[in-house]
Order: sequence, then structure tokens, then C-alpha cells
Amino acid sequence: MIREKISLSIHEMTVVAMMVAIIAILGAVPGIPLGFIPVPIVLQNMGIMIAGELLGPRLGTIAVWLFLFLVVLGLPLLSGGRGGMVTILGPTGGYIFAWLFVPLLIGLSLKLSWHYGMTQGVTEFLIIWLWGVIFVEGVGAIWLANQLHTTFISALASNILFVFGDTIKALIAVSITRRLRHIKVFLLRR
Amino acid sequence: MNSKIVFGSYVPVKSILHRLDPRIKLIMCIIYVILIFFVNNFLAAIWLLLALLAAIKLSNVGLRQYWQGIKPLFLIILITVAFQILFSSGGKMYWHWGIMAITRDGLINSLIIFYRFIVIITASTVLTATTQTFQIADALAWLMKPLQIIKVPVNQITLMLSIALRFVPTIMDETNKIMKAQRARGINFNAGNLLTRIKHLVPILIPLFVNSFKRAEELATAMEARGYDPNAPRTHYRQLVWHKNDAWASLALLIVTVGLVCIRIFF
Repeated sequence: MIREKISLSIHEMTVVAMMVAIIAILGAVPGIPLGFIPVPIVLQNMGIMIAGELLGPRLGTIAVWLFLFLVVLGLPLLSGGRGGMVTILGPTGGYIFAWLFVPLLIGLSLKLSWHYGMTQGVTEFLIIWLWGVIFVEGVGAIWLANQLHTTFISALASNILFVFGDTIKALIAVSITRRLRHIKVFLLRR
Repeated sequence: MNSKIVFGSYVPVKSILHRLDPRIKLIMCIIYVILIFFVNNFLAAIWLLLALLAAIKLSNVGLRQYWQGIKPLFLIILITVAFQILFSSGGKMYWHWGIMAITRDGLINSLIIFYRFIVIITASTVLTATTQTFQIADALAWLMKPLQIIKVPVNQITLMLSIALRFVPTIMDETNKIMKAQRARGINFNAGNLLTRIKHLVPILIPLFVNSFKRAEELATAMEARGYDPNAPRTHYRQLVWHKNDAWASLALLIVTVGLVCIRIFF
């Protein structure tokens, strides 16, 4: 019998693997302290946004799922050296759970906007902001409220501090990705 | 940045646990974590704790290493426990103020949560401290074989994991080099206001991505030149061999599981 061809090419696999490694390394980069907010800007979730933007909905999702697979196994790949199942089961697990869907939502939304001719950076930023910031904070707040027995509104309020930093990360992600797309090395061959 | 941040888990000492087949260690860790959620009384908790202490003893890894696993998550644990104490209801109320109240059920639940978190973290640390990452990848490949029946591309998943794990130290070193090169060109990463610091990220991230994707392309070409076919069955250079000690480990796991079941039934 003829074996069914699996979809990923070798080049796609190596690109996904590099993206997983980069997301892990962004977690090891020390955060940038904001003077007026107690939470520093940590770059790891920017890697999640870039995965969706750069690799598209399919490869980006595979990269993030593989990364979180390693985290669940106990490797300390999350920012601050965290890892293991407690990071998923604890109060901040909602954010990490939302990461599973961010590249898919970003990638599909970008394809849709390009289809309708909206190729400006502002459109791209709004898509990244909607799915990479608002969606993640929303899902994280729901889980946080459930775990800490508080209301969704107060959990959302506690997230306001992070939205500012995440917005900056979305800006950086759009800026970097729009430059990277012009480089030939990012054309995936099959 | 320190490369050990990412792969500081493995502790290269000799012990019984280090020599076990990584498959049985991975299975033991997974089943142990599942058993934790079946703990419903004090005796069961003690039983699983004794099993964990035995594993810690056999691993020959210092207690400091286990604290290193707990420390990054300790704040999260404390916050969860505090909220559990203050906002739960049920049982005798000892103290209250506004919507906050300390009740007996709240205290019991917070104790359970604390116990579960600490034990799960420590069990994961036992696994990662006694098993190298490529061994974990091999064990995963073996555990995921049944998924091939439902057309999951197991070979490709394990290949991507292996490549990712292999290149984390390389890309880490490269990030350090890029930062040093940019410093030599006058960028100060620790100074300036917020906007300046944000701008300084771009000269790090763009070369990082370009170099990594170039490496991905070169790697793909090299793999093709070596005759790799993603769809073909493959042989393995690193063979996982089952020894007598692994059988003893399976027996120990069975004893722990049966013991827990008995405790749940009879108490």
C-alpha cells in the first residue's frame, strides 16, 4: 500500500524547531523594568505572537504546542525558570492555555485581512493586539478568577498592569515581522 | 545570560535513578502526578510523600536542586494558598472581615493545594534532574508510538523536539554574541528610558531570527543530502535497553499504586 504523505517538509520541520528554541530563549532574556509599573516586560509571549505572524497559522501553532509540550514535561523553559505541570494547573495557567490558540487566530486573521487588501501595519498591529493581548488576558483572567475564587472583573482589573507591556510587545512584534518578511530566508520552500 | 538557565535541571551524578531507562522514569512521573489527584485523606498523602522521599533519596541529588525547582513558582503557590484561605467558605469560621473569612474547609483546601503543588514540582524535578533532555525526547518518541495508529506524525514531532532541544544552547550563545557585538557598536542595553530600551531590542531580535532561519534552511539541505525522508521508517542510533532495575522500578510503581488504592478503599 502507498504510504500517505505527511504534510510537513524537512525545511518546515527545521523552521518550527528553530522557532521553539527561540521562544525558549526569549524566556531566558531578562525582562525590561518599567519604572512606573512593578511588572517588567518579559519577552516570551512576544515569541508566541511572532510565531503566528511569521510562520502562519499551521506552523506557528505546531511550534507553540511543541514548546508547551516541553514545558509540561518539566523543562524550565518559561520565563523565570518555571516549568512543569504546576505552571498549567496554577492560577496563571489560563494565559499559557490561551497561547495554544494565539498563532492560529493571528495567522488566520492576517490571511483574511490580506485577502481583503488590508496590508497596512496598523491592521496587523490590531490583529496582534486583539489575539495576542486581549484574548490572552481575557482567557487568563477567567482562569485566574476561577482559581483564586474572585470575580472576573477584579481579575481583569489586575491584568491592566500587563496590558501596557503586552501592547509594547505587540508593537515590537509587528515592527520586527514586517521587516523580516522582506528577507528571502523566510520564504518557506516545500 | 547564562546557558544554564534553560538546561540547568540535569545533575550529572551517579545514582540508581540516573541509570534507569528514561521510559520507565517518564511513565513513573506521569502516573505519580495522576495519583496525586486521587489523594483524599491524610494517610494517602503520607503514602505518596514517602514514595517521593524514597525517589529523592535514590537520586543522590542535593536538596538545593529541588528547592531550585520550587523557588520560581513559590510566589504563585503562596498567592493561590492565600486566596484559598481567605475566600473559601464551609465548616467552622474562625475569623472574618468583609468578604474575607478564614474557615476550616478553607484551611484544609489550602493545605491540599500546597501539598499537591510542592509534590508535583518535586516529582518533575526528580525526572529532569536524573534524565538528560535527549533521553526524555527518546522516551517520548517511544511513548507516542501508539499515536501512529491515528495518523499522528510521531517521527516528525520527535525530530522537531530533538532539533529544538539541540539548538537552544547554540541560539543562546548566538544571542550573547549579538548582544556583545551591538555593545561594541555603542548600544547600552541597561540605560535610557523605556522607548530607548525598546528600540534596543530590535538589533538583537532581527539578527537572531535571520540567523536562526538561515540555519534552519542549511540544516534542511544537509538532512536532504544525507538521505532523510520524513515519511520513511527509521532506525535508531541510541537504543533504549530495558534492564532488571527497570523491572524493579515498575514493581515499585505498582506497589505505590496498589497501596494508594487500598488506602482509599479501607480508610
